[in-house]
Amino acid sequence: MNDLAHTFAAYQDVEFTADWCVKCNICTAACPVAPVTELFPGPKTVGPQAQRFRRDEDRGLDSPDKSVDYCSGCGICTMVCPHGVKIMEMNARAREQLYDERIPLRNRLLGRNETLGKLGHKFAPLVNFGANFKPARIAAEAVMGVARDAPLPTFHFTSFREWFAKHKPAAEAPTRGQIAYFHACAGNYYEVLTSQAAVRVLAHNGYDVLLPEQNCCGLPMQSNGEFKAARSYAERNLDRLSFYVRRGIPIVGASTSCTLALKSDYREILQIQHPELDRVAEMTYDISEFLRLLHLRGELKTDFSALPINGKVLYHAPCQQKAHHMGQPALDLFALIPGLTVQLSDAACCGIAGTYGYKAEKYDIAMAVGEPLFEQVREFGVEQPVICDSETCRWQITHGTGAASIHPVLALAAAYGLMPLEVG
Amino acid sequence: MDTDVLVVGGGVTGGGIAWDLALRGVRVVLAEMGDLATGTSGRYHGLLHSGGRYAVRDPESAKECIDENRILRRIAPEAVEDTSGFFVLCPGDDAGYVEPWLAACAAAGIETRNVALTEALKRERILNPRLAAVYEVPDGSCDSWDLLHALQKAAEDTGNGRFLTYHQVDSFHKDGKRINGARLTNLRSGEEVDVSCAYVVNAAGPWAAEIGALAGASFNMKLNRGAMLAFNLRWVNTVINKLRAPGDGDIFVPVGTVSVIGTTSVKTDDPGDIRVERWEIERILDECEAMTPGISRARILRSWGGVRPLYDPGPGGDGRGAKRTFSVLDHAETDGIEGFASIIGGKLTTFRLMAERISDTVCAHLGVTNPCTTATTPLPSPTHVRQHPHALRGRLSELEHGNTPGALICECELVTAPQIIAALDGGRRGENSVTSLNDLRRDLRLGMGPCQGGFCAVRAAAICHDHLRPEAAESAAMLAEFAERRFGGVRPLLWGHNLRQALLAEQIYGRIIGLTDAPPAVQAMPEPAAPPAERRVNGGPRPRVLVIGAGLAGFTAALAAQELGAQAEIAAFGMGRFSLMPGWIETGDVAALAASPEHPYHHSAEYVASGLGVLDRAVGLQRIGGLAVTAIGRQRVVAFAAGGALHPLTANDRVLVVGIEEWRDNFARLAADTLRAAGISAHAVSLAMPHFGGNFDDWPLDFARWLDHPECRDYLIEELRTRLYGETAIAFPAVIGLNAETRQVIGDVLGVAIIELPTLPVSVPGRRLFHALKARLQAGGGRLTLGLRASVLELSGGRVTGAIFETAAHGRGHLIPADAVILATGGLYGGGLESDYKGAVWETVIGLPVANVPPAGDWFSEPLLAGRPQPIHRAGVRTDSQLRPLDDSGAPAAENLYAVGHLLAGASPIVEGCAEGIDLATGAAAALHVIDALRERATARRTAAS
Ligand SMILES: Cc1cc2nc3c(=O)[nH]c(=O)nc-3n(C[C@H](O)[C@H](O)[C@H](O)COP(=O)(O)OP(=O)(O)OC[C@H]3O[C@@H](n4cnc5c(N)ncnc54)[C@H](O)[C@@H]3O)c2cc1C
Ligand code: SF4
Ligand code: SF4
Repeated sequence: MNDLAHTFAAYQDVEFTADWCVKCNICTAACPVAPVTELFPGPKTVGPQAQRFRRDEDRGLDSPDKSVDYCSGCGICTMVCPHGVKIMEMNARAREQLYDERIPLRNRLLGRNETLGKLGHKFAPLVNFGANFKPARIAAEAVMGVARDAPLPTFHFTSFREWFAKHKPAAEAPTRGQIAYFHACAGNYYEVLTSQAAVRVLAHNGYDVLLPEQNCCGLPMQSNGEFKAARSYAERNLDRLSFYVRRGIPIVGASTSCTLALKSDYREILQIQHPELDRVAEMTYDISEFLRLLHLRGELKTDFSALPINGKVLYHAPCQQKAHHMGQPALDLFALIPGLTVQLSDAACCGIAGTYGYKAEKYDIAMAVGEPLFEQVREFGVEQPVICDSETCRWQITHGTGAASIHPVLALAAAYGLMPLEVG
Repeated sequence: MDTDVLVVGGGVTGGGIAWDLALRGVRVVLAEMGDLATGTSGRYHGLLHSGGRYAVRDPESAKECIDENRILRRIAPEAVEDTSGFFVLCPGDDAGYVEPWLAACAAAGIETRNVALTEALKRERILNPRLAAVYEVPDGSCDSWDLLHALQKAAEDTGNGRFLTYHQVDSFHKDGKRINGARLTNLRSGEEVDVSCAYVVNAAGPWAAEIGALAGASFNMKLNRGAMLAFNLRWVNTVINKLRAPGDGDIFVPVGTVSVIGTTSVKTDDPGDIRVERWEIERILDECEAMTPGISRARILRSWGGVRPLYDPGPGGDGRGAKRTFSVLDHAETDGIEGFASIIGGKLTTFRLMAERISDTVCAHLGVTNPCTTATTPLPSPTHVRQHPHALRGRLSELEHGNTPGALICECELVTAPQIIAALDGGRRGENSVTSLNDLRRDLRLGMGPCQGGFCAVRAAAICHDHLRPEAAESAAMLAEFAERRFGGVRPLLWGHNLRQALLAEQIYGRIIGLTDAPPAVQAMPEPAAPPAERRVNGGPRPRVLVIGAGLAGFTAALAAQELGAQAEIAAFGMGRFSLMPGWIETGDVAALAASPEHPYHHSAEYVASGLGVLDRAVGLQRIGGLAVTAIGRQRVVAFAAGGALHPLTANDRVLVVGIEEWRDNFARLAADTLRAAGISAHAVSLAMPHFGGNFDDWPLDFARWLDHPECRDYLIEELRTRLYGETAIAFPAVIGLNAETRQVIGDVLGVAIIELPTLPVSVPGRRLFHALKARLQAGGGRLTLGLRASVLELSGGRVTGAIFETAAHGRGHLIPADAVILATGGLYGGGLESDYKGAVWETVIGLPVANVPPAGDWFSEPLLAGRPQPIHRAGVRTDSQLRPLDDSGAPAAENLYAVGHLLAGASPIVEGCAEGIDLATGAAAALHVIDALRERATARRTAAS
């Protein structure tokens, strides 16, 4: 093996991978956004091709390319490029340049998932009413550009942390050590059941679950071009998680985009410099990934019983899950549940891509991107819950089809008999 | 033509002189045999010297540089970029140089600032973190092209200056010992032009001695050539110099969107000697590695050489021969020739000073007393159409804001169809000289980007064909010549990603366009075969077969293994060569190729039938065994078509070639003309498609998706119907639906054969094939995961137990356990093999030995389109007869590790016409060997247990 490949870290840098593009167009063919809108010429054009013309010094000047804003950040391009070009990451960084200090209020609000969550949580009934109450949404679109029809999540009265303080599940025998659970904002305010399922499954498998202080991973701000804020969130998380990784305690999360942020976005997109950046990345696991590893080591309990659904479910692996490059661990786990047959969704992307589909000018694009998936769901039957690892994708699936959608760990918890299969 | 002074040479020196004299009220004509800046000035390194480089050895030059550097920043801010510069002390270089260098800089007036390494690394992240010292100096970079055009404008704006390009000075007119004019030839028109003048200035750079000789003056020059390499990207924003006595490969300059490293120093006698030799490239990269380690992995766009016009005062000279300052030779004094002076030596940085000095001499002779004012006169902003890399940013912005409508032809350098058409129209009207692809390249930068014309050349050739209406063969010849030329420019740089680009171009030109001579006719072709039932897995748990790589070879192996009872999984980085497939299956002459013990067929020929069978069951194969038609209507021998997309042409066919109006990949007219020239009745029509046209970037898949809607398909049917007059076949770009049914319905309704003409990537037929194979794999319980790059194999007791893939969590791998692993990672194009500038080739997953690696520099010795294998084609992994790759000792690297497809040594797939054949044969063969071995092992185990 040639050792040069390893000496030059900068050469692995996102922007520099533009160098590797041979223009083969595979990414363009795979991008789910390019075919549904004329406003977006596709990954090759806005990625490696435009990158040749972007320069650091031009920051703050009028960016030459505005269409990169229409990249949803789904990451499919990076995944399919055979030549190692980090296109999605490149686009994300270009977006920083595009907005740079001129971020519309709308982006700031969507970026403040956590603030919205906190507010929503305190005034849950009111917000939920507002979320389904069209006039309020129309006003929001007019004022902030949040698409009136986009799927807004349901806020819960009791946050996950509040629940956990009272109901922390005890590690079952044989005990296997400690785990730091990263619930992220969604897991605390909206996807409380998912978080409960995750910690129950971990405890069932012998883990003492700890709940580190944490804040939003920063991803929503990052994808809305607010890099400064995203970086400060990221740094705070790294500071807090350092305590755990230094003690060898793995970090596990069920919000797949948030664990991905810890693993890769902090480095590749936000370019954070932090002494524990690498260690946190290396010790962060998506819940399914972690459970699959336990299984490979022969440490996963397999006392699963059949689920109260008839036979077959549809599984959609969301883009962020694929971007972990960890295979499809959920499939390996489902294989352990008796009587469960899983059909794979063949669709690339549900369209929502984090907060992309929440923006008024992108709502239609997001729905068009999601259409092939919605069609599959409808064909499959909307009575069965669709299984999917990412919360915004689940909301989008429900929004697009009416079918319920759950995280894989919820199915696992139910199959373990740890909690009922709640799909509402 | 009458003037006061004739300046010979349109480099920066000549341009500077013309401007200087014109400002002093002297009438000047400048004659340049090429375009402006085609001599050394257009081939230099781009550095506006601070003088630091010369401070120790040549203080006079250093002083000149820093003074002129300051002046140029003032008077030509648009041509100069204030990049600043670092002098860096590399590990191993003499630290004793630093003190004298600092002292010499101080003496010359060059500010130096010690920069902390952390700060330097923050500014330039690719610098060597082990540098011993870094100093900052006021270096800059300068665009000589912008500078020269500004000089021209400034000189002409005075009303005193006139620039004649493409005018060569052939001889001088003399009146006794006095020069009073010259005869020029207009190289474009062939016309001769006489200029009479009072004085001639020789600013012919490296040609100065030749011009001197024409005038009867003799002096010696030391010509010295140097090589430079331009990277595709702007790796540094600051000029980086090595802090040591000047040598090779020690300067790295950011210039516009690229960055340039150089140079070398080689004696030459020929002012036109702009060669770059292989050793120079290696030397420069070796040296540059010390400043910026790993940089040799970055992609180089082009290399070029320039000749330094240094003055040699001879043995009796004043000993300044070693110096880089300049000399003014007043030939009245040196040779007794009146009215003639030469300026020799110097640097681009000091051109203004050089011009001032010689203009002083000229003015003294002419009795002009106006002083030089160039040091305080700002140059005008360039107003010409800027074609340099700098200007490309502007092009992107224009394109993005809809100011340059129309299809984007050259995607790298952003050239649109209307711009090409305008240039060609100009050529037709005699307003410019654009009549060919090469002219378009010069005029618009078409094909100058990293893909070297791989995509745009055929598009532009089709536009030229439509507008200039030459014979089809002429258009093809022009395209071929262009491709060879672009390729020739990067030939010395073909390793790593440039090599991949060349291999991609080879596939496009060879198969999709079909410019390479067709491979020999297909001999006896086996029938697709059923999976051998007796070789199935017999009982027990399904063995897990892991295939790394999702190309045709990987899919064939996985599906064949699955058909034999294995649990198959494909994990891959990227999705293989499907995007480049023309839609047909080439197997080549299997028996003949298999005769060579080196060829992958040698161990797999008997499995071609099994591989075809796998494919047949997945998509349905159609036997062709005849001629298929390429994108521009040339013909290629093929064996099968996947999914029934082809109609073998016969002499009785009457073909309607249909193109999509305003689509950049509309080659219909060229294709029809080509078919007609081959004796087939064909004519072309172009159809307007609603929603398309007007977009700068429509792709084959966009049409395919659109046509899959039944109402869109029916629209096309109706459009086609009105244009059919008894034709037997319709040739249409291969965009007729991702759904195979779409094409079927169109053919059936219209009652004609449909010939799909391959398109530029991404190939729709390739996509169909990929989807069909994937669906079959998943239907059989197999799994496909993309985005997984294998980094290592897990080994235990001589057996592979799984593969580990890179994950997003740096440093942690993703393990996939397996009972056998099949490597289908592709060759130098696919990524299974990597290469570097030193001529090393390595296998990327576990570092298997690579056979047949030719000596560096000899990799691509054949022309691109010669139809002969390039030496590098045959590099690859060797296997035993069961397709198990061999380690250094010649034994299988592991008991249960296999290698298939283009990773294998010994083939030249495009030239031999076996690109798909070896994938199918080796994929199927490996699967059978895998299952046989696993079955035997299971049986042995059972026997041992009982
Ligand atoms: C490898 C290399 C790197 C360099 N790097 C730098 C650098 O980084 N910084 C720097 O300051 N300097 C650099 N230089 C030096 C600098 O490029 C030259 O000093 C400068 O460009 C010379 O310009 P010129 O006008 O004298 O010669 P040229 O640019 O060569 O101009 C002479 C012109 O005369 C024309 N001509 C010749 N014969 C005839 C004829 N019979 N009729 C009409 N026209 C004719 C030629 O076509 C040519 O265009 C470098 C030089 C080389 C070779
Ligand atoms: S897939 Fe990769 S190499 Fe191909 S065009 Fe896209 S970025 Fe370039
Ligand atoms: S990240 Fe997704 S939307 Fe953006 S360019 Fe890539 S594939 Fe397209």
